Amino acid sequence: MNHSEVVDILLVEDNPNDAELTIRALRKRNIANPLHVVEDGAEALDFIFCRGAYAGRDCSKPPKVILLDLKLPKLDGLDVLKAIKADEQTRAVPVVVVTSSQEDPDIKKAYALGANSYVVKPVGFEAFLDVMSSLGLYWLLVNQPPVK
Amino acid sequence: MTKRFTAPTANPILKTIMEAGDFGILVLDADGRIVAWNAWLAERTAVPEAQALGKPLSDELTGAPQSTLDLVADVLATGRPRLFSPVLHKILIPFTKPSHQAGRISPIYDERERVSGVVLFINDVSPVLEYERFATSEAATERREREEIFQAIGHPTFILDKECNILAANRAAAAVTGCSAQELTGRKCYEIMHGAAAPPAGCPFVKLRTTGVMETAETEVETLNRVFNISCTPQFDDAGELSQCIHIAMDITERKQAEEALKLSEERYRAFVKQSSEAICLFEIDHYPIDTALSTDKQIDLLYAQAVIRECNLIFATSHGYDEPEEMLGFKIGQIFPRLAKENVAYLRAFIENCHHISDVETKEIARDGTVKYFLNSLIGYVEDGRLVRVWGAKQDISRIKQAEENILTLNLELERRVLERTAQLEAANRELEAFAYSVSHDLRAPLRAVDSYTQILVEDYAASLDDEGKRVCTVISESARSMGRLIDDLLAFSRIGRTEMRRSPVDMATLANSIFFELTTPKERGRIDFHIGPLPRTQGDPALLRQVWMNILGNAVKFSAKKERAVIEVGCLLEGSGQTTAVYFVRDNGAGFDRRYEKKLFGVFQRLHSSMEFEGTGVGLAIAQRIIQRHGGRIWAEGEVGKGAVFYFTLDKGV
Repeated sequence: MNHSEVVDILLVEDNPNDAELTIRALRKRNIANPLHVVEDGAEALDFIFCRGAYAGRDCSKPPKVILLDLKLPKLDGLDVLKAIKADEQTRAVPVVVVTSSQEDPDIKKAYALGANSYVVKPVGFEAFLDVMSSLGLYWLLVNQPPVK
Repeated sequence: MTKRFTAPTANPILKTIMEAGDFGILVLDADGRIVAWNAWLAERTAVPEAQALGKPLSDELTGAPQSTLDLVADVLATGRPRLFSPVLHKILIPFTKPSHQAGRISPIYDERERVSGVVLFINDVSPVLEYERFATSEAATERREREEIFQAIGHPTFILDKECNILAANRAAAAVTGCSAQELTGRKCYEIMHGAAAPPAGCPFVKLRTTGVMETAETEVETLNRVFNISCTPQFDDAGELSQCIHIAMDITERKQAEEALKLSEERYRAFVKQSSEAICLFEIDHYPIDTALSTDKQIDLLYAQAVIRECNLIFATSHGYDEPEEMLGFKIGQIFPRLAKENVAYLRAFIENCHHISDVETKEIARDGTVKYFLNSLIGYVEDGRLVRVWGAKQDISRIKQAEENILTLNLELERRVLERTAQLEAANRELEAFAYSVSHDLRAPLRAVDSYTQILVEDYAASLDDEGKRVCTVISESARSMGRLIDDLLAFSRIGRTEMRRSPVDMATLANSIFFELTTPKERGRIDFHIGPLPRTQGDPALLRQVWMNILGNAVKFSAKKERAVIEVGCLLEGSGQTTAVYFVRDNGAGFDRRYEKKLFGVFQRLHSSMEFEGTGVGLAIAQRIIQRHGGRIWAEGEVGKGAVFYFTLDKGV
């Protein structure tokens, strides 16, 4: 992947099926914004802070939205969230927690750490399509990003 | 006239009689002239012999009264002697001092037996009379005094003769018998006192008659219902024979009663003190009672210096490690109640400052073997004239109780530790459960989503390659995956109910039930359902959880009555319990009902009594409702009949 490319959507998802279904849902609703998938928390942070494998990336162009799964290998989704919200540069980037978990403590913790939204992935495909596409529409088209 | 008498002084015998006789001698001749006048007379009349001689008696010189002169004349005339008494005549010849005189006038015969003169013998009897008068009045006084004493004796007193006859009775005797002294006199003593015909056994008078000395006896006097101490004192006549007896009856009824009472009191004291399970002891204050006006510190000093055990019971001794109470007599307070222990001094201080009284206070004391004993101690001090004279102590050995308390304390600590341990275990289990729920919700849902989604993709992208049966199979796969998703969601919801914290606040059940019914139903459904809601009392509970209960139960009512043409759903409440504090809410429907045999299964997780073709659902709703009601301390149950409907009841505390 060309790291100098601008990425609008960063999808942090370890489950390749869910990643594929998410991309499919967005595309199906004609959301064709550039999207990049990372599979664990550590890689997500490398991408966001332009380091490691992503050292060449232009840090001045953060994604318009980060779709973050909570249950991730290596570094937990909440830790990723904490790191993003702790940094001056990245704090403004909208983070939508997209997860299968309906557990109250996770929702509370995510909001406490500064998540901009919390979405539970439905089991049914139609419902999943609806949720993911409206998400993309809202954050990419309706919402005004802080950084132009 | 010739002198016919020679002077008596010529004869020595007569001279001696005249001069030394202790009486007056006066001789008159036949003519009544004084021929002799002895010195005794001269001294008492202050008329010297020389002046008197030759003078007539009537002369003013002697002052003799006419009666004397008449007596003299009579003797001279008749020749018979006359006696003179002080009673009749009072006086013969006045003396210079008042006097009572006795005497005789004797004629003097000559050789021819003619009366030739008279001799007057005069005696002054004043001293004799005075003595007699004195003696007479003395005897009277003595008699009177004796009578007064007899009467004044406060105890009934008789004078008895040898045969028990009452010779005299005093006022007290009259008062006590109710008879006058006259009525008593002459009667037998035993008749009066005992109403008997003979002296009673042990009668002191009967004894006295043989012993001859004073006898006493305690005698019950039946006629008066009183007890007397009778003393009989003998009196003897000049011949030494028993003449009479002084019989004094001292009423000792009150004393006897007091003695009885004292005996009883003593017996009671012995019984209580000796038998008591409390340790009892008496401290006496040696030397000198403690002045209660002294400072508390000074009083404590004196208690330690002077309070000594005078008496104690067996329990007291044994609780201090001694075998016999006698071993502890004489102990000073400090020997069992060491002053080094601050609490002991504080205890005595409280005792003094609380008016020398203190009760049920724990103290630490030292037994003989040096072990520390715990007592529940009480002290009562007796203060006389502002001075503490003695102190009674009573105490219970609570060493065993203290030991038990300590054991309980240890057990409690152990229990607490175990509770903490268990709590930690429980918390760990809860955390595991949460992790499990998290894992279930996260890990199980993703593959399900994949199953459903990829099946959809298959249908969408490869529709051309699938025949109708292939498409039907895809639908079944999708539906099954979604159904499993719902099951997982419900299971998670159920497990969450048990783990979430409850927040209690007042809940308006009527408003809640009503709004939920509207949430659950469409206007069209409401047109088919007769919904009745009675007055529902408020309760105290977690609003979100109670909302879930109504949701599930009302939801069931709506769901299971959906096939009725006219559905009737009734919501109401009964009150039960003493004080009507428990609210029994109920929801009644006329829907499908259920078989009573399966009532128990109703509230189990994933237990369904109807097929999902008939009524959809996962079978978790009632299990959740039951768990919520149980967490609120209530009960939930159901009644029903197949095809006729069901009633669901649940109880909650009525809110205030």
